[in-house]
Amino acid sequence: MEAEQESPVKRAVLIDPGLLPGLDPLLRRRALGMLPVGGKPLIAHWCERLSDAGIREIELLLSHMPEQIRELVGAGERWGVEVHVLLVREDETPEEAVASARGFINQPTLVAGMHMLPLAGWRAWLQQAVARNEAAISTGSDNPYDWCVLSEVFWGAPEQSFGVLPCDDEVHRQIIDVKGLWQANMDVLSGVITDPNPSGYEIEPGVLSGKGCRLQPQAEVTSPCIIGENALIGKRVQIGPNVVIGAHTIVDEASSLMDCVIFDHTFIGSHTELDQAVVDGYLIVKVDSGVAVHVDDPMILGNVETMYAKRVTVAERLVAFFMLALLSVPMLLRAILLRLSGKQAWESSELLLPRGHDLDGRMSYHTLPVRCLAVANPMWRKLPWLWHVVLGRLALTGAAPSQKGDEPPPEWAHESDERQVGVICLADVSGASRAGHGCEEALIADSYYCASRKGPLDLMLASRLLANLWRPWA
Amino acid sequence: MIVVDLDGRFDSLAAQSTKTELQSLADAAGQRVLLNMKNVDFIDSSGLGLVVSVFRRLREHNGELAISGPSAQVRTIFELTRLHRIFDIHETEEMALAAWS
Repeated sequence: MEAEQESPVKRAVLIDPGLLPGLDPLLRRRALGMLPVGGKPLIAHWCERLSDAGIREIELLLSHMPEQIRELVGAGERWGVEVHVLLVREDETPEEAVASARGFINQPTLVAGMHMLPLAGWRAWLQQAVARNEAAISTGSDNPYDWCVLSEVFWGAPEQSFGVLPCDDEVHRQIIDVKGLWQANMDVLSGVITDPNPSGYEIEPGVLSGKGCRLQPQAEVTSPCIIGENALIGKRVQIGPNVVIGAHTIVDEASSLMDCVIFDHTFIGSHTELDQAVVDGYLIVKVDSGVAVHVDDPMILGNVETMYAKRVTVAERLVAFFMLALLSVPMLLRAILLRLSGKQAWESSELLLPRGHDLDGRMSYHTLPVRCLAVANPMWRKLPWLWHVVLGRLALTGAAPSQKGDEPPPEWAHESDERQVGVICLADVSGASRAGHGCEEALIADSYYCASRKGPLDLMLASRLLANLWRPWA
Repeated sequence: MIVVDLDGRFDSLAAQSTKTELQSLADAAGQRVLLNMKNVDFIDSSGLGLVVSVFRRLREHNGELAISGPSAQVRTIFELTRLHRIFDIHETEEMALAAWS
């Protein structure tokens, strides 16, 4: 019903308030508008609500990580609105930021901070504000630009004064700290904040699930919950009540989650217990105490994107495909020669993909069965592995999984003394054997580089691999 | 009763260097070991693994283990891994000693 009322304003300006201290740990890797509320980014809530209200043009004044918002919002077609992005400096005051959008405000315009979440009563407030026909009208808060209506007349006013139209709790919700973000999510789950366009399918009353979400046997979900797309919920996991899980998140076996918000791409290790917390990858913020802990331990918490090669790029797969096509003939000839000479042509092996230490301090691995060409030259031995790159199971190049700030790479990144984090894996395969390590450790090290994040080094890798193929066969 | 003061990052490297010493302490019959973590600012699964293994050894020899003074960060990791339900965790060393006495 609300959507049928015509909005008295047609334009909106949203100001990114930059690095809000209360949200600081969560804003180190993402823009404020990308913080999840009820399973979707805050900026998506804004666009939906503005579009539903009949607002057709939105100016975004962005300062912190604007590329993330740009990538998500685009030109606004998804919501039937026209979005313009204006970059502002992080040290600009809201007044200065809004002044830079002055040309856009040539009719009554809603101006708001992006950290405000519009609630059910926001449109009623807007109508009352416009009806007062003042140059500028705010809710009376300390920073009037957090929520106000401006008209073009405002800029001609001698003292840019704001009229005041107070608002109640039904107009908007400020999200200025982690607890506020958590509470907004809990309120979406409980229905206190209504989401007119909830995303996902209701797989049972109160449980929304995104596309591609997988629940393994004996996983228990208690409503209300929202589970993002492509999330993987392991065996015997207990979820809920009051849990929001982001897309592409992995919750490992026998974990327990209650009253918490999990951001996209988070890995939660087995037997981990989360209660009243906001988790973004390896960062956990306890809501009650406000304590933020950077865990980055693949057995407890981590970031799926940096822990395992989940995405092998198309370019990387193509390079691997062409390399395989180019080298398959000599590889097969070599195999035939081996067979003709009465030797074994292929060997089976198993790649060990490290996942960290278990609670007894032992290394823990995933395994991937592979075939090797039964020759001494390690380049040739590993050629069949290129097929796994084509299939997206292995990455072609390796780089350190934790590249941010002064975070050290995990201990298992140094399985082999001679290797440096970030070197190309397939082109540099004999370091471990030269160093006197056993075959298993060489495989571990190789697997690490295969499994870790990769850089745009495909062509360099290709050339080095080709060059190394012609080394003397030991 | 033995009080072991740990400090800094109690991760895989620290766990490796203290493993033998802690485990030998745990081998004495009826030993009470207090791990004072007042100055520990980070613990990971390797550190937790060592604490668990020391705890197990102590139990096998009828000993006891307690932890004192964990920072909020360290306590959070104990809570995440549910180990706070297994160990006696005290705010301060004095409180831990008082509980034993």
